[in-house]
Amino acid sequence: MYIWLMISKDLLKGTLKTIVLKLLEENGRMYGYEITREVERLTEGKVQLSWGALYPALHKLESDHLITSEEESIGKRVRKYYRLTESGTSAAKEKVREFIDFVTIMGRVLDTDPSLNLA
Amino acid sequence: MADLTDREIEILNREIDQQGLTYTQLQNELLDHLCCDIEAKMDEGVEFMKAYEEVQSRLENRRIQEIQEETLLLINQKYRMMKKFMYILGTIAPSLLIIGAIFKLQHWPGASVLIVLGSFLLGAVYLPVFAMVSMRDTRKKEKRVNKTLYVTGVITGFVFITGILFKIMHWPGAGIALLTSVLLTVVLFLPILVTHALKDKENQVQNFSILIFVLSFMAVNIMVFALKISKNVLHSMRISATENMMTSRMLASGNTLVLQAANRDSTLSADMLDQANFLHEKTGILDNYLQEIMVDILLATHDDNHLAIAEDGSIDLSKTNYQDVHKSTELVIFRSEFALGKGESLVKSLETHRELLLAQAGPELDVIISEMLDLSSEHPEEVPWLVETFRQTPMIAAMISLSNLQFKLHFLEGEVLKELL
Repeated sequence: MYIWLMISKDLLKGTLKTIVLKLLEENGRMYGYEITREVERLTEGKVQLSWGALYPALHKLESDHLITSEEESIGKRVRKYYRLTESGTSAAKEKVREFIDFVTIMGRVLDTDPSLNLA
Repeated sequence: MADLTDREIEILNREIDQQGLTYTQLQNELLDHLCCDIEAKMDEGVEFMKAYEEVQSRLENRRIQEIQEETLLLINQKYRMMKKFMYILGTIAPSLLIIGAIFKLQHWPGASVLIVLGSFLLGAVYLPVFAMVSMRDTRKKEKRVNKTLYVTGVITGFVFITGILFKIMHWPGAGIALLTSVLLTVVLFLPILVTHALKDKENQVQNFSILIFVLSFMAVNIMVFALKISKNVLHSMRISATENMMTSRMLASGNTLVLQAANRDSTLSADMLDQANFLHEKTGILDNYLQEIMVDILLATHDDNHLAIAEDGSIDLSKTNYQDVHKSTELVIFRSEFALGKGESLVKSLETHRELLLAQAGPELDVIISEMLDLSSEHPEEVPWLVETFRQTPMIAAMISLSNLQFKLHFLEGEVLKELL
């Protein structure tokens, strides 16, 4: 049910929340479709979020009080906007920092960047 | 940007609806997402029907239902764990309390540990978890949660359970806790509960029952204040009874010595000596009878109490148990399976003895005798002295009354002997 192009879904699954939090931190309020488009734009189409991955994650973040939502009627349909809560803002910073640390360490471990190889 | 017509949106909505979604918020979101997708394709010049066909793959194979299930699973994780926890606790806490109560009744070791643990689980863990789960359930039904009701309920319940626990364990502070819980109920919880019940038209029967239970528990709460004699009180009663016994023993041996000396004294008249000896003998008989009643009551209370009775018939109250039992007192004094109660004959003997003392003593002593052996009661018609003294009387209190009578007998004997000799 996940549609990840180019990048394996296992790799991205754990970082989806970080991505969502970071995007909301930068853009204020966003709705689901907007988030998938933004991710596509930023990754030049390499990462396409399926709604099967996105919406459960959004609802989970909401139930953890990291984001809140507001609904707006647009003609016949209802659009749900998400924004960060106060704890969500700090969680966003924390998660991003954590992930960058992780990537750096993995870079060293897997020796993809010789300049980082201290040995 | 292309905008879908209402009709087109309606078609998409029906399509999603057919997937059997129950979580409305998610359904709206997915519809919006689908619309945006199609609109984007239409912007590229694709016809609605064509674009619709392209995204239709997303609606196949129960995919949407899977999303819903996963979403609900994710957001309900904590709730489901809490609910499970609540069910387990809900079974363990009362079981511990019931087993603890049985242990306590049987005076088996470990009762206290069970009761304390059960109360702690019930008051400090189960109650808050129940409130959290219940609040979550209400919120799920898209109704407003009356937070104040739950918070005051949990606090009141906690203080109440603490008070009961302290009372059972004879810990200090039980009275304050129980009083606080009554005050909290009357001042805070009841008004909030009643207002809530009046507003909440849907669950009237349920709310009414809760109200009735709260009121009943408050009654229980108030009764508990006076329910059991505390250990401290029992202890001081035991000391008081023991002192009565000691004093009367000392007085008795003093009287015996005085009489022995008098019998050797040839200056005294034989008539006087006869009177004195007669009184001493009668006092001894009555004293023995009182002692016999005390032993009977002790043994009727519990077999183990035979350990407290020495071979010469004297009683060591510190070795007795079940001092707050009052059934045995009534059994011995009023009526038993084997014999008529000893109370009636005790009253008769006391009255006869009083007459004997009055006949032998001078007018000054008569007043003291009448006062000390006064067998009248506040309402002699309805409640005679015997009933007033021994009905509903715990074993240890009966010991005080009876040993006090012994003390009075020996004291009065001594006074009369002084006059006679």
